[in-house]
Order: sequence, then structure tokens, then C-alpha cells
Amino acid sequence: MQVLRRHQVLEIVLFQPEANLMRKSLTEIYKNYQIAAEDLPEAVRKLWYSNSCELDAEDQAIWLDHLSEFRGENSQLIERLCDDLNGIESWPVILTVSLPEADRLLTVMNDQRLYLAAIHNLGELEINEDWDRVFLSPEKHPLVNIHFLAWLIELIIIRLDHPAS
Amino acid sequence: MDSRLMQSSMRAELLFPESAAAAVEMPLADPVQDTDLLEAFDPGWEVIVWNDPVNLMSYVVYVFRQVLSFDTQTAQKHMLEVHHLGKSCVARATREKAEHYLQQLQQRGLKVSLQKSS
Repeated sequence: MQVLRRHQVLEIVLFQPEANLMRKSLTEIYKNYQIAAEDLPEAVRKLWYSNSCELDAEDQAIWLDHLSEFRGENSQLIERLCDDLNGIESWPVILTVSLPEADRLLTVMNDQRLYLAAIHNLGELEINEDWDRVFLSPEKHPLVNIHFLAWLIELIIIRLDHPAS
Repeated sequence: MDSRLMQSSMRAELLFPESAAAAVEMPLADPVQDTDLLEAFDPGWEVIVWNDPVNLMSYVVYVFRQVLSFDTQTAQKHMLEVHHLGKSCVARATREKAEHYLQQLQQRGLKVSLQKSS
């Protein structure tokens, strides 16, 4: 996996296993973004839709609308990236994202990490487990996914900060 | 302009039209409204970011820079405070501004709360 920057665009270069993981993550988060807040598992609802301000009913509704709109815009980006990842016949595949899209993609991938940790009840101990023990864990699939997304988030942030490095 | 100020001003114009309005002192605002106004402009609201085990340190630094316009050094200082002390106050502002920061940080997945500074 590589992330390159060409002027105002990032190119995310993925080989087959990475592309498969990416498609799986994006598909899952896309589905979850379409679910109304009240229908999500409580752990996820708290993460994605809670507001620590004491809001009255009207402000709460405005807050939920705002989040739905924000995630709706993220969904458009996810759809486009999933299209790019489908039907690939030659490897590696290169996903192209503008800088504002890269910013959104970071939030999307972070949301997916939060989602996986919440659903599988993964905390600091499990996430910081030695890499060789991750594969022995019954939660190895979500853990590998969480670490893969972390790797990609780090690469994108480095490229946003240091275009030429 | 604050809508309550505007309403108060409009009320004064209705009660004391034209020249009379200039000569007569504006009635004092309702004490309850005064409290609301003071609170609206009080810059003592703190935005607190809390530690969580999932968000990456680099991501938290990135979000601080984007949302709060911190330079890298300041963003890292606050991220390390969150990591080591469990929380960090990243902004003090009016309630409206603090709520704006809170929403921006929350929609990016950070754990945030508001508190009135003591």
C-alpha cells in the first residue's frame, strides 16, 4: 500500500488483499451510515450520534439532521470509491481523492474503527496487543481491519502534511 | 444582532415614538434577559476532549489542527495531555463558539464535552 500526492490530489495505491479489506470496510460503513440513529446498536449510537450538551428536543433534532447530512456527504464519497474498487482486473488499483475528500475519508475510516471497536467490545488492551498475538485472537478479523485502517489513516495524514516526502 | 436586543429596542420605539423616544431613558431590560445575555457573551465555556483507546494520536493531532487551527506543536501538546491525563481543555470561548467546536470535534469521532470554567 502506498499513498502518493500529486498537487491537490492523493493517490491511494492498493494491492489485492488491501483493496479487498478497503472495499469490505467501506461497504460496511456505508450500510451503517444509512441506518437511522435510533436503529443502531446502542454502543454505536452513543459514539456517532450522542451530544454531550444538554439539548432540548428541537436542538437535538437539528443536531441529528446535521450529522445525517454530514454522513450523507461522506456516503457519496464512499459510493464513488466502492465503484472504483469494483470490477478491478489489474493490480494495483489506484484510488484518487482530492484533498477535501481525503479529509472526509479520514473521518470515514475513523468512524469504521470506532464502530468495529464498539461492536466487538475491543479496548486499549486488545488494540495494543502484540501483532503476532492478534492472529491468535478470536477477534482477529476486526483487529486486522482496525490496524489496516490505522495504517492507511497514518499514510494519508503524512501525505497531507508532507506532500514531497 | 441578538434577537432579544432587537425586540427590546423595537418595544422602546413603539412605546416612545419619535422625539419622545430620544428624551426618555430606555427602560432597563428584564433581569432574566440580562442573565441570558451575559451568559451568551461569557467567554468562560471550556471545550474538553477526553481520552479514548481507539482514536489514533496522529488523527487527534490532525483534527485539532483542522478544527481549532492549532499549529502542530500546540496540537501535539493537547493530544499528549489527553493521552496522559485523560482529558485536555482545548478551547475557552462563548457558549455558541464552544458548541460549534464541540460539534466539529464530535462529528470527527472525538469524545468531547463542554463545561463552565470555575
